[in-house]
Amino acid sequence: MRSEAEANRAIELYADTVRRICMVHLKSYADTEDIFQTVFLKYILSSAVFENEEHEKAWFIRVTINACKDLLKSFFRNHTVPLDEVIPADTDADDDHREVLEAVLALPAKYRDVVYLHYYEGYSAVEIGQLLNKNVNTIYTHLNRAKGLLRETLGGEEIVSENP
Amino acid sequence: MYQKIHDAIDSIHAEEALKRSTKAFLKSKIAPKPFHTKRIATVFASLALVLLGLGSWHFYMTPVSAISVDVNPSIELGVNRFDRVVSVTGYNDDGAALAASVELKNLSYSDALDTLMSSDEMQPYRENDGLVSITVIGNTEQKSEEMQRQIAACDFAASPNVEYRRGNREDVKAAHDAGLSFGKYTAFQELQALDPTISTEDILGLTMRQIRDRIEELSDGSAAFQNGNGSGRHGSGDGQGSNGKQNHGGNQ
Repeated sequence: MRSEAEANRAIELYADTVRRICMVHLKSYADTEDIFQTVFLKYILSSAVFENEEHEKAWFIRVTINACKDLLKSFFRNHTVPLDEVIPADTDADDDHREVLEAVLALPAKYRDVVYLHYYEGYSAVEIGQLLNKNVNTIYTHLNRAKGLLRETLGGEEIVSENP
Repeated sequence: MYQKIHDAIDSIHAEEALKRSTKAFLKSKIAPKPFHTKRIATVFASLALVLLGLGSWHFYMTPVSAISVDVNPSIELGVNRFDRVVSVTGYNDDGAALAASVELKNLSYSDALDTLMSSDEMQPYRENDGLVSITVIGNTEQKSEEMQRQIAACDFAASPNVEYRRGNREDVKAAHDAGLSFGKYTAFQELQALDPTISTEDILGLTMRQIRDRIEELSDGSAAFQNGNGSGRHGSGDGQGSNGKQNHGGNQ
C-alpha cells in the first residue's frame, strides 16, 4: 500500500485529468466522487511501478475510463442518475468554453473518449487504440465521425488538428 | 477548433472540495495502523487479564498442604496457600458420601474441620468411641507444625479420641496410589509391620478404632512374646512411632 504522501501527490497531479474524464462520462457529482475514490484507492493499493509520469498518467486515464464504464454499466445507476450539473459549476469556463463542452458532451458516448484523448491529451489514434484496447481503424472512424458532428454543432469552422 | 476544444476541456478542474474529500477518504484507508495497533493491544491486554485470572484461580485452587481425616470415613482436605480448603476427596464409600454432603470448600481448614466434625453425618462414627485420626501434610515442616497447632485449638479437638500425626508428600503419594487416605495408610503400614499378611483391601472397611485396636492387640502380643508383659492402651494420643512417623498425642 502506498503512503498518504504518495496519495496526496497523485491527487494533486492527476485530479484534473480524472475530473475531466468524469465530466466526459458522468452526469452527477456524486458519481464523480465515487470515481475519485475508486481510482485513487486503486492507485494506493496498486503495486504497479511506473517508468515515468507519462506512464503513470496513462494508467490513471485507463483506470478512470474503465471505472466510469463500470459505473455506467450498473443497472441501478443507469436508471437513477440525477440530472444535476454536468459541467462543474466553479469551472472558469466562459460561454465559449461552455458551448464547446456541451457540444462534446452531446456526442455519442463512444466518441467522447477519443475526442478527449486526441484533442486534449494529444494522443495519436494508435496510442488511443492501445490505451482503450481497440482497433486503430475503429479509433480513426470514431475520430472522423466526432469531427463531423462537432463541425455541425459548432459551425462550419475547419477543425484544425494534426492528422491523427 | 482544435484549440477551442483543448481550451474548453482545460478549463475543467477538480474541485478543491473533491480533492479534500478524496484525500480524507484515502487517509482513512491508509491510516488504519493506530486502530490496528490499538486493537492488538486490546486483544493482548484482555489475554493478559484472562491469563492473570486463570493464573490466580489456579494459584488459589492449587492445594499445597493436606489434612487427612480418618474415622471410618476417610476424607482428605486439600489446603491452598491461603489456608483455605480447595478440594475434598473421599477415599472410601463413607468418605465419598461425607465429602458430597458437607460443604467444606473455601472454608479455612480450622472451620472446615469443625464443620466436618460437628456435622450430622459424622456423629454416628464419633458416638461409638470412634477414633479420629488427623494427619497434617504441610508443604514445609514449619507449616505442618503451624497447622497442627491451629487444629489442636479447634473446638472438636477438645474431645477425646483424637490423634494427630504429621506426614510427608512421598508417603501421601504412596497412600493415594494404594487408594487410601494418608491417615489410614500410616495405620495400615503400622499394622502391616506387625502382620505382613494384611492387605489394603482388608483395611478399607475398618474404622480407625478397629485398626488401632488390632495394632495394639498384635503389638501386645509381640511385646508379651518379647518381654512377657504388655499393656493395652486405648484412646487418643497413643500414636505408635512406626515407619519413622512423628506421632503427637491428642488432647485428652
